[in-house]
Amino acid sequence: MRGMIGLMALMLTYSVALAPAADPAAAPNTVNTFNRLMTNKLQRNLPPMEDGIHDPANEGTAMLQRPKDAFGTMAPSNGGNYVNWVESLKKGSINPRYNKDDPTEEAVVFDLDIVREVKGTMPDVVYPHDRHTQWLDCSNCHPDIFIPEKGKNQISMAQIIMGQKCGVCHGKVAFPVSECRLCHSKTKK
Amino acid sequence: MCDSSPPLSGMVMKKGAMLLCLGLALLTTPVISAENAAKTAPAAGLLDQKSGVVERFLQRSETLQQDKARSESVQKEVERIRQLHKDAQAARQANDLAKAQALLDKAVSSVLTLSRQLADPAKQAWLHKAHYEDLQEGVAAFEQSYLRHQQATDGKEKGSVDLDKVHGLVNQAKELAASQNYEKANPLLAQARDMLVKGLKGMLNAKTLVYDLKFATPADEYKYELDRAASLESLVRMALTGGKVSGPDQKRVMELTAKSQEMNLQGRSLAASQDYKGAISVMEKSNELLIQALRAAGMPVF
Repeated sequence: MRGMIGLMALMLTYSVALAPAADPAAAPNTVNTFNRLMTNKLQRNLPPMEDGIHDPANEGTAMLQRPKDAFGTMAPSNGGNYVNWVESLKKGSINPRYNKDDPTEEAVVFDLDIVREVKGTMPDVVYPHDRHTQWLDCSNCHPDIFIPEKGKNQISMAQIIMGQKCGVCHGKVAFPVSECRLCHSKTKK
Repeated sequence: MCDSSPPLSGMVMKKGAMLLCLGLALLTTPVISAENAAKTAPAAGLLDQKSGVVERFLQRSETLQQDKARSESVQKEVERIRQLHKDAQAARQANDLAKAQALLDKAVSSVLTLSRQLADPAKQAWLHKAHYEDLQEGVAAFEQSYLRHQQATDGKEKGSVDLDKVHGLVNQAKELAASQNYEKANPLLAQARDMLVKGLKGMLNAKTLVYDLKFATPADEYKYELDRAASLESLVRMALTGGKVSGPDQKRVMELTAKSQEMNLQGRSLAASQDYKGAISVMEKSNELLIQALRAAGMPVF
């Protein structure tokens, strides 16, 4: 039950079957409806009753704090839900409990970078474990989302936008794929 | 994933449990740090929310009392929560919002603890079992990873894990699980997993692993290009369905996509005749056309 933020993200994994590529315009028009951090700016950070994620019929939904109230004191960001979560954590604006059953448990921060080379002109991807493990437990991602072994995980931007792999969090509760350079950050030699 | 009696599929139940956890976490996690809390008075809305949680629990607890014989310690705890809630209301009336919040935080924390104790035993048992299965998978994956990295460094790196102890814990957990005692088995598996993670951390901390693009065979590289094509085609469809691509741009996107698909077919044909190098070359060009299509559709591919 560690790494609660990761669990938030896991709630919303969807998959959508894509039609063959013959007619791109014929694809369903719902691909981005759950990718909420890429929606129109005015539709982001809506109150829980209106956000399309929480059940408005559930009385508990009305008790949840509104994002705009919660995010007011946090470090700002230009993308996603306009919160720089890494910076907010660093500054102490937030102090999430690592283990819901144990307020004293501290995160096991793992400083390991994975560089994933990609073909084409885009810079290679750097995955920093350190800032992820400040929030998450290893088991939030391994082995269900990512098998901890080179070559065992096929990852594509399409999958991520469809809410799989990195998209389990990014685009929902973490910055969206529109912030290309935050991940594609290693210039090719 | 689960062969006993959950009313829903394993994945759905898992998500349900996660949703519950999320709710609990949001309610228990202070939104601002203690340091900042001292500087800013708690919002009235937040106090209302916390107070609401406690009130609902107290109402529910009265109903529960009629249904079940309750232990003395539970009764005492309910009374303690009731008192905390009363004190918080008094503090609020006296305009001491910080004190009210602190009291409500204590009350909410106790509500959550007690709610877990009073939870449906069948559901709890199922959750323990699901957690056991997750832990088992985690231990297996981390052990494989640990062994691979240790082998890669000829065991020279730090982080040696007592694998006999890990296996001992896993076996003990299995025995407990065999008698359906997942609740006691889980801490053992968690301990085994934490030992492996600690070992991995000892070996890999402050390092960079490069997942390079060296392919074992041309067939592997061809497969990579095919996957890439599938991803790019999906992205083109997504770009077009966003409804933001103008008519002329859309025409250009369609032209590029059509050309790409022709080349894609050529590539597949070459691969079918075992000419993987030729297939890769054609597929790379085909994929480049799709990237151009994405740019034409306004996607930021640089």
